[in-house]
Amino acid sequence: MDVLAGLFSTVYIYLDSIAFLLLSALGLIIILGMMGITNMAHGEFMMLGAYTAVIGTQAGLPFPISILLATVVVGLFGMILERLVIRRFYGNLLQSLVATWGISLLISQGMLIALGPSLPSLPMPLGGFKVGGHAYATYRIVLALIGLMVLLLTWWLFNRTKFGMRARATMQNAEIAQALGVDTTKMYLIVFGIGSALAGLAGALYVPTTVIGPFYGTSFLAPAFVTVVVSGGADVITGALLTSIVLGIIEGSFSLTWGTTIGRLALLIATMLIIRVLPTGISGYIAARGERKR
Amino acid sequence: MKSKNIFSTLASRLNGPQSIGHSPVFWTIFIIFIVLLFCFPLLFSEYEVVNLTYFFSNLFLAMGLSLIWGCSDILSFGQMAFFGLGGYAYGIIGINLIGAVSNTNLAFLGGILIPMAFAAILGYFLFYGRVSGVYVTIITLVSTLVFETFMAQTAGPQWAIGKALLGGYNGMTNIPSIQLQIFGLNKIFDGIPLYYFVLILLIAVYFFLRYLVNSKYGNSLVATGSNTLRTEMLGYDIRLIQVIAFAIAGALAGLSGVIYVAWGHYITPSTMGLTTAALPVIWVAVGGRKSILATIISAVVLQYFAQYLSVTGSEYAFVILGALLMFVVMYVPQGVIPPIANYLNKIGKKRSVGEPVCHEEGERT
Amino acid sequence: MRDQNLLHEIQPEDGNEPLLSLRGISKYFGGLKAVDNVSLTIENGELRCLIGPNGAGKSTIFRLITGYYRQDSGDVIYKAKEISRLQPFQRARLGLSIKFQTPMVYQDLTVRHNMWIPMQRIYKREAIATEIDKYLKLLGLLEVGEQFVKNISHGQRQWLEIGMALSVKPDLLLLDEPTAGMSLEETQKTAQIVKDLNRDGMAIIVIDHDMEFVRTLNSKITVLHLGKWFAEGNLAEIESNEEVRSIYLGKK
Repeated sequence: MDVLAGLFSTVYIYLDSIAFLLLSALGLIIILGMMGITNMAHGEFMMLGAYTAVIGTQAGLPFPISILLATVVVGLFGMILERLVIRRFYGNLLQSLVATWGISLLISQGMLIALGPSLPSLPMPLGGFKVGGHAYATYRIVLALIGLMVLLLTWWLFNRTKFGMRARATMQNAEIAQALGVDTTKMYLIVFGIGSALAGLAGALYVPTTVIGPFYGTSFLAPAFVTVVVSGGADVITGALLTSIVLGIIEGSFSLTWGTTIGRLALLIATMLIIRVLPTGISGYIAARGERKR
Repeated sequence: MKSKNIFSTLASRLNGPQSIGHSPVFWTIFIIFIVLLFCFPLLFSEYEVVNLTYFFSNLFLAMGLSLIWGCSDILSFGQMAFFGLGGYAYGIIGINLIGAVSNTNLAFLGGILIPMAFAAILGYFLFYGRVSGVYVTIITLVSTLVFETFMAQTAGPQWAIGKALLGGYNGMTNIPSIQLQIFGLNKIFDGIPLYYFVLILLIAVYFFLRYLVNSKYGNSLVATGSNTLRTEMLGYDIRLIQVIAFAIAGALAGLSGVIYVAWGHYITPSTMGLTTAALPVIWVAVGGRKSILATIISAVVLQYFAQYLSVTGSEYAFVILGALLMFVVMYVPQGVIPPIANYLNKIGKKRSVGEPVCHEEGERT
Repeated sequence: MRDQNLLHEIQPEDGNEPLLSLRGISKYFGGLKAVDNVSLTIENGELRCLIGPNGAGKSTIFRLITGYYRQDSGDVIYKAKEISRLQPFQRARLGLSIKFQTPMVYQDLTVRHNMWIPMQRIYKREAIATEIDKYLKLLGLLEVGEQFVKNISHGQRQWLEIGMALSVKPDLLLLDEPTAGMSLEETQKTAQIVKDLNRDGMAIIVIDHDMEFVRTLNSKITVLHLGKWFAEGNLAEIESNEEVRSIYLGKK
């Protein structure tokens, strides 16, 4: 029984890490892979999602509805931002990074001025359960399931719908896609909206796990970017999944034994080692089977 | 050709390959400024001097970033990590040794060499792994954040190296001032002496960098930043070239850290936070990353500006800086100062702009 | 024609080593065989044209020679040494130089500054300016010396890059489509430059689609098709080769 309990504990930690990385990074990976934009404001998008969820819940909405609201609101916000600023920087990873960095400063500092240094946090729903003497939160299992669902939904969207086909065509070669009749401008707008919405969703989902403030997104930023780097930009879905699993297991293992800070450190070192071996990331390595573009 | 005097050799080494000479006007203004800076303590209060010293301390960091970002197109968010490393290293060594040797020679050296070593190692992983572009930026950013997180949880009493308590979020205190012992002369640098120490260092580093950038190495660095593949196929080891620049920038950041802790006697992990890491990028981007002088001017001006804002109770300092960054990236990507310099150039009808550094600035653009 | 490929397997006995020898080189990208068991030998001071329809693997071969790609099988032997383990810059230092398909020059630097970069490795500081003048004169770029590269024409950029590739005094020069985008006059001038260089002893491999240009060079020609060695011979032999003509069906 003890072995099973230990196993469950390990699996739980892994699932938690994997889900965290997957949910934090998916939106970012999509935006990077599709449009060559490095969105440094990603953390702020998550913060906006968290704020929307908190404000919505405080206004009386059920938490799940607040989460959906957060997803939509941040998605729309992202689209507005895309129209006004982001579109100038397509394909320019470095410039977009610096520009979105400026945006992130504006949003976080602006929020600090507007709503103060913190918002009330929400309690974790769904309670907990015990296995082998240890207490676990049901919510975190739910998060893992939601993470999986979101990934599947994204996979379905990009691989099984006409929209997804057009999106992938644009990703492969925007010029040809345009010549074939795809409205690439609108495509970029929508995809950036999707990426933002995912960030808002993740931000809202993790509200019950931590304190809420203007710099809420900061703790997600490093893990999200690390996942993006290791995933590479080539294959969004598979890359995101595999990377989350690999990095999640690494982080989980180290956190289990030595605490979360060492877990983060291990994540960083693992990233540097993986990039050394696979400079195009995990998805780049996979995509190298298909075709090579340099 | 035989009667080349020392000035023309110096001039040829400090100017770009094809610049005909620097405008004497530029050098005159430059020298006037230096003289004014030397007279600063005579004209202003001690508070102002100490304040300016603090602003100066950050300039090495900014110059290092200008070197790697302006010249070789590597945007590194890691400068603050090396700043912190330098500060903590100086603090640890200084606190432990000051009682015994009554100087901070070793601490000073350590504060520069240790970050330099770390920068070289990180650079090795990045550039020998042929990681490029945005991934370098992200990894340097993540490194800084991880280092901050790590230092932030060093709060307990078990987190001490010798007599130096790391202090977690509260930081390390009681860091000694710079006290150098050379050839039997022992001097503590505080207040006004510290100001002059930093000023002289600043001038020395500026000329060193100017020489470096116009040297053979500097040209190869610029070439690497402009087109890595082409440079490699001309026989240059671009990996080594980039690591060297990265290490120098790290050393400079460490120097900034050393001066900062010797000035304030105190360091916390928040100097390595996300927002602080953005500051050097903003100074360099707004000033004009290809020009070290522009970076210096921008860094000083923006620091005064931010201080003015927070002193007058405005919380908008960072908002304005963020907006400034965005404005510059969108509309004036080469920075604010080069166009001004070009304009002054046209007015003065002089042949060359005040600063060649990484390329001849827009004589014919 | 296919059997001639086997001749490359035989090493010359007289100690006169070929400059470059590709032996059974293959490169795969996923399921795609970009280069399939190609063998090629270039002698010292030889001028060779590498032609073939698009996708024949010509540029890939250049990348394999320079080290940008590592081959999946086969040897790359240069100056009697197997160089597969060498980084591209190390190969460059052994006398290999390339002009890329799309001109790879330093956009934000002036033409002179561009030439400075390769030259500073070869010449002393005092001598560089004069040497640059020599090359600029040869390439007809003297008037635009102070211009930023982004402001000069495409043809001028091609020549600049050729100049840069030359200035390191290579033993083997690789020219990937040197006449792309050039006018007739510019193309003829390029042909003259190539012939002059070769006459002075430089080994050169040229990839180009312009058959007039290839004709003017009048060198030994190797034809690639779908990644495989297809045919080899002098101009007359290749031009009269029916099979070669058929793979170019529809082309010039």
